[in-house]
Amino acid sequence: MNTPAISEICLGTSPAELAGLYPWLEAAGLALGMAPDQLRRMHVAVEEAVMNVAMHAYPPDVAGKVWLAIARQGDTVMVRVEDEGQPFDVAAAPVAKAAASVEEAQVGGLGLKLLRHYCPGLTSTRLEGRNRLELPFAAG
Amino acid sequence: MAIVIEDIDGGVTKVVLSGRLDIAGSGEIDMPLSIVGGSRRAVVVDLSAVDFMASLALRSVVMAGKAVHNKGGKLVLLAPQPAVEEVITVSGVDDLFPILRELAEAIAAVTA
Repeated sequence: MNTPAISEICLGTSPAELAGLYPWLEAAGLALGMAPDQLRRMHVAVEEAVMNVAMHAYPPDVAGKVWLAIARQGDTVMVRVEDEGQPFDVAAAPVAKAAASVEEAQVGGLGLKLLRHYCPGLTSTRLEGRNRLELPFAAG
Repeated sequence: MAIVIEDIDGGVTKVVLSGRLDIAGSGEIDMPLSIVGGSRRAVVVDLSAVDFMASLALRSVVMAGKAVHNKGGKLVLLAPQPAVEEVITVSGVDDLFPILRELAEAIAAVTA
């Protein structure tokens, strides 16, 4: 069995550094032979996962980091997202309820809903001081 | 330009968003949308030229919509592409700010 090629990147959680997410993910997804529609779905989910880290994992005065890795095994493309912020179990976190009115609408909480919709197979673990999120996507 | 703001007849403001509203694109639209939210009462957000949108950009639209709503005004969404519409409906944002297909319909909705 071949060892799959792994592409990795580490981004700071400032908006300027996070802007590097899309170019990296697009290039990696295309190199792994992903279909455009799957690539788009993956991009929504990974952006939500990374923004969740950027907004919630680290204290506001800390320059946080997020580590990403992507590899393909058979028909599955796996993206791993890790941070060293406060423990957070994405898979177990409650999703915001749909707002009944504009007044009640929360601007947060949309991300987890989208993340689970676009990546229903996600798993999260806490390992050696890191939150690790594994996001499987169909390649084709 | 990821955002163009146009005041059209009847006190309606059309906000045309375009391109890839990922993390980088969201940064470009956030402040202009907040100004629109704070200053206008009838807003049509034209999404037809948006190729990609996730919750960061959507959050800016929702914030503007809430600000418009708080002043007694209305904000609607116009003609998103299917992939963008999926993001909006999964988020439930279309329950708060309706999606309309035609500009005339959208103008009627915000001026009603």
